[in-house]
Amino acid sequence: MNRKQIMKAVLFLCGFLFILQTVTYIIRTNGLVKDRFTGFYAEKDNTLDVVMIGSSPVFPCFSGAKMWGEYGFAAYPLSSNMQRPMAALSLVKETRKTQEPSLYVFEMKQFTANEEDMADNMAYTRGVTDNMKYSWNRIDAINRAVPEVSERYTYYFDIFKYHSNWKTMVLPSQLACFRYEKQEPLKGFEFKDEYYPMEQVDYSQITEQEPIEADYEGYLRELLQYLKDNDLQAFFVVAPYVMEGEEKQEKYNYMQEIIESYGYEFKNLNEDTEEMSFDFGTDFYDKGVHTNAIGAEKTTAYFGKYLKEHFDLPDHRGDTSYKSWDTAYEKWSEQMEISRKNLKECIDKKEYTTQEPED
Amino acid sequence: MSREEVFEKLNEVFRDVFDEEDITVTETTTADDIEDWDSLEHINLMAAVEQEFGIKFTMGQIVTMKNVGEMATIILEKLA
Amino acid sequence: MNITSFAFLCFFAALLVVYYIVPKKTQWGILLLASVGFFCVSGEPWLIIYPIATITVIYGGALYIHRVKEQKKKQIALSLIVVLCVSLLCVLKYFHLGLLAPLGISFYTLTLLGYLIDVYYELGEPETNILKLALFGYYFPTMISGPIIRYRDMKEQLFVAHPLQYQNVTYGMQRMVWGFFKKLVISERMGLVVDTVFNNYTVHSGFTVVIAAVCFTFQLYTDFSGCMDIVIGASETLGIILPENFDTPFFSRNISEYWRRWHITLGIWLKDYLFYPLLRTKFFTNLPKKLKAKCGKKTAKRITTYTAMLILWFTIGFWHGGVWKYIIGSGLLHWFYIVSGEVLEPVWKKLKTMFHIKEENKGFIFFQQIRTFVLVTIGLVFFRAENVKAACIMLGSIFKSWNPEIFWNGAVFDLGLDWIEFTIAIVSLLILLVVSRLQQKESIRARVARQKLPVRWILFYALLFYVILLGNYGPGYTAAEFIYQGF
Repeated sequence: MNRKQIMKAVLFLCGFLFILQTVTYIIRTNGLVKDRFTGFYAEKDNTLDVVMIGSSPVFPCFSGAKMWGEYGFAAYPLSSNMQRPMAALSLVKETRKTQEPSLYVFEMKQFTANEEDMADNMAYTRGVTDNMKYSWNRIDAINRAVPEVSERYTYYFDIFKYHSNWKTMVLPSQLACFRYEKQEPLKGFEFKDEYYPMEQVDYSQITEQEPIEADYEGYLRELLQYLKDNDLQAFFVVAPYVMEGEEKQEKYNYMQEIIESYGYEFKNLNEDTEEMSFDFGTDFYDKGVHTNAIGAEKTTAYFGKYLKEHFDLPDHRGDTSYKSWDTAYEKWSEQMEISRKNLKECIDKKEYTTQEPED
Repeated sequence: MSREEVFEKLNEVFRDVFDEEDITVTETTTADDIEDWDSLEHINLMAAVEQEFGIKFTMGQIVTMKNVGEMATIILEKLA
Repeated sequence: MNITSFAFLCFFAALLVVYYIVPKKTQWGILLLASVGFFCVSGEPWLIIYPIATITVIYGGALYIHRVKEQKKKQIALSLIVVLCVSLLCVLKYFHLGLLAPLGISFYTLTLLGYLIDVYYELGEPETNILKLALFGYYFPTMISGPIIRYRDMKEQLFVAHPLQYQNVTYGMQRMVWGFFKKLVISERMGLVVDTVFNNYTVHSGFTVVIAAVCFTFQLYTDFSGCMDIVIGASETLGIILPENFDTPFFSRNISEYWRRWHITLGIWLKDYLFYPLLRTKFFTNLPKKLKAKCGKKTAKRITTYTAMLILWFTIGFWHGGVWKYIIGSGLLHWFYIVSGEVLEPVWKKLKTMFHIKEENKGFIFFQQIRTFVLVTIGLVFFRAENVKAACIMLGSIFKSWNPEIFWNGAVFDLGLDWIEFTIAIVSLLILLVVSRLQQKESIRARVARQKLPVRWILFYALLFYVILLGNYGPGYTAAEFIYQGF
């Protein structure tokens, strides 16, 4: 084999890998999670001020657009359904490739889960790994999340899973993902226009501790150590929800102690629902697990203010490179009006959602 | 027996086996030259040749012999 | 390790690198190691004792047969070993000892017996290096489903140095992709329809059964020949050219021709090592003489041949599995086709002259090809059906209802492939047809190689992504094994 032939072979292979990557980006299953991640990658470099990492409580609850409109910092959720705790560190690393946020927010509910409930359902792992661009960090994320070595190749090369989506290749919205970058008009927020009445439970007097799963504690400590070593500002929170039993509170108490021992702040927003005038009777979308649009508005208002007051966050309003955020705020406000109306109708007619909660 | 005589006898055998009176085989005749000479007829042909000359081919010779010339050579060897 | 699996591709890529890095003298050693590794990861590793035992017996047997002078002793040694290997094969395969049966056992048993018989026939010297013989017997590309190789054809290639040659590697890989195309895009799709109908044959009839039967013929062909493309291609990248096992069999004009073009190496093996020796036995050499007086020379010869063929076809059927559906579908039925074709030859001739049909008329050739396809398909219904009874019921049910409406009322899309999938299947079959036609005239790879680079690359990328996107593989599908690897 001569030089020219080697060159040709290498070029052919590079071409193949490039097309493979592009095609995979395009046919990864379309949906809100994909939109959120492509939206994240589409953000201009070093423009995000806050990145919010966590499971499904994040994206229907904290509106980046509203925080922008009212406090002037850009907050983006990197969240997927049932996100698994080991993913948090990978997502921080992924963020740092293109962004230098002043603050990382971690929603902690996922750390109270039981691994056995999650490990089986690899869709949750894919929610993160199959929404990352190809990189070493992605490989690392897969290695951390997929214990079966023999299965990993279908994650490294997710075309193994998604090739059957080939029909979606004709959709313009899919084709736009060819670089896995596509502006997300609402900055990752999801409006939920349904409700289900719940009652608040108060576990604030519980001071006992219940250890979280040993693996999860490992991931938590690893994350904390990484944040500390790299001098990153972080804030650990729990979004409002109806906790299923005292054990959850005990687990939060346990985590709080660990988090504070690394010098970071932990806050369970369930304890502040009065200040944000959160109404458990109307502000949840499914059965007390996720907030609806109004619940989100209340939480975001309170949370945005809290961030602004307690952390050193800039005000970028008026900056031309943040134009898309102004548009997002407008869009959010318009949509919010509609949602408010929809929700009022539902509540007046007592039309509860039939949606079963899904983490 | 001379090579010519072998060929003369072979001609007779071929004519008999393939039922064609105008077959004349030469040194270079192969299975491709005679229409019905397929792998099946080959075995029949071998049996007929063996009977005619009173010899016995080995299986190796049967499957490897390439043309009538080779066949004649083997026959002469056996008769010698 | 399935050869369409990702694991196999990794194994193959790693082997390719190692193979061309190591000193040329050790290349065959690497192949032997790879083959042992392949055997061990593909099934129960401890079953390796089986190949070790057989190789030792065959090795020693060949040396003995070669050395010993007396014909009688040679014969006894040969018979003993053949009986031993064949009965072991039968026991392991046909008495449902599934788990204990080493992978591809029927293929390498034939390969090694062929070698031994060649030594007995004095067609070649025995191999003195047992490791070399082991590589010949268990060369991994041919291990699972052939092609059945012959020692005298392969020894020049297997143990010599193979420097890295661009064309070997590129052509080999192209061939592999083509195999993946056949297997993953066509065969797996056909399989969905086939399973729907054959697994539930009592509720189907008429055209539905016809469709399923035709689909199975395509499924088996693309599965087996696709597998061959992959292994022959893989071997070609290593510089070792294996014999072809298929030569566009569905362009055959009659059943005899079909069997010269389908599973070619098995046909050659059986002809050389079973059929010829059979015809050379006393019984068969004397039979025509006995019959001659009664029915004339020509008929005597025919009866003899047909009787021997009956044994041959029974064996072919039996080899596919010791049950009647194989013995009939892949054996006796074909014997019947061939014999009746020859017996009725005068009738055909008369008919042809009556209707002024010319032998080389294109339309007539096409008719013959379709006829061959139909006959083969009938045999394959037996092959795929649960058992002989089920096959007969299915074939009968074709005539029980006249339901051409399934083609326009959408029922045909309820058989496992919706209209989009069906279209893909048909387009893919057309691609296969066109390529096969072109291939008959000239090597398709040579033809492509003459094109300008951009054209070539576009073609390669197009095929690659056609397979990647439209192939049925990965977590969404259950990984299918090759149909023929069980045989």
